[in-house]
Amino acid sequence: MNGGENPVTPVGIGEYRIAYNPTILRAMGLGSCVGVFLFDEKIKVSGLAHILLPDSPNDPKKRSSKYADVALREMIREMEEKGCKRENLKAKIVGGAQMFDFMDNEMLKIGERNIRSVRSILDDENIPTIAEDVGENYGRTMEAYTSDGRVHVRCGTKGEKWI
Amino acid sequence: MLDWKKLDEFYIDAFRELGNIGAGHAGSSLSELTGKDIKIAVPQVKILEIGDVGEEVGEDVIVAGSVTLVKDDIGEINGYLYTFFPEEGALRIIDILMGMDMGTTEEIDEMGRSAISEVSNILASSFCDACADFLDIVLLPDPPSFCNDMSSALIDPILASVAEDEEVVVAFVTRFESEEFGFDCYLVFFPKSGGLEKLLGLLEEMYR
Repeated sequence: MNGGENPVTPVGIGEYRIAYNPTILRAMGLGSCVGVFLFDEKIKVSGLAHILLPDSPNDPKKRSSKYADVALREMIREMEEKGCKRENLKAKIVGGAQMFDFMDNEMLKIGERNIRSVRSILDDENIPTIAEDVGENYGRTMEAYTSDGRVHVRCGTKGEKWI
Repeated sequence: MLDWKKLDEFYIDAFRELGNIGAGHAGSSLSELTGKDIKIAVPQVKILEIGDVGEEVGEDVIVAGSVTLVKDDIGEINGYLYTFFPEEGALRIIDILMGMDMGTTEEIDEMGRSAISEVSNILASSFCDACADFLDIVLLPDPPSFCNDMSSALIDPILASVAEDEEVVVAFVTRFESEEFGFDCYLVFFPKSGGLEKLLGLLEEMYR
């Protein structure tokens, strides 16, 4: 792991977490899930959402942070409460792979639908995506550094990189 | 929708029984196929919050295996059967099936993929047969989709499908082990939510 001395906060499927410098936020094994990292470089506060599904159903009882729209909007609101400025927020997105060659259609397209939904929400919220490593057909683990906004991506079978 | 807090001991027992029967058949098939003694750990029925599933399937483990959609003939019960071998075990299974000396296979090639898919297919079929016999229904597996990646990444599309309307998932977890050859194998069944209610109904008819 690249955590070194810095504390690492894991973010499970369907959860989001907000962290202060120098915490590292980690989403393990992103397959069709999408990890959305938002950070405010000025005050060094960041958030990471581990998104399972693209859109929440139109039913307040089913409101859950596993959906892209709910997770991102709640995370942005909480980050603003903690002093982040909307105009300083930048995004990096990772994941949204197609893990299987053939399967029922709904399951095949889920990664792609997640990415599309995340992009459109970030657009609506006026948050620019400055880096991404998405799609393809393999899993990824991401570690996002609140200190400087770097994101380390490690693929199970395809090496690693920084974005 | 199911109220999970009301899922009492009765259902858990009935589920465990179902898991036992499925696992027993699948274990015998694995033993026949490999010609090795296979130990079956007590099958578990787990009700998991979706945020905890990654940890349950081994977040940072590379596995080879397959995912199979299983469904009954009238579309009421369906779910995903996820069979996987932590990677070293997958290589040993390939050795055994190909009649090679243990330790020969170092990576999974096309032939290895077929071997793993075949094992998965047989495990899935025997699991389905056992459940079907037990519940007196028809349960059929689709052809398996091979996978070789991080276990927690492979689980994503399954969760996206079974947890569309639920915050928790039910998983039937069975672990097979060959001490002699040092491999283990996991069989996890995730029923989709509508199918789960139907399963509960069938179990209730049988026992109550």
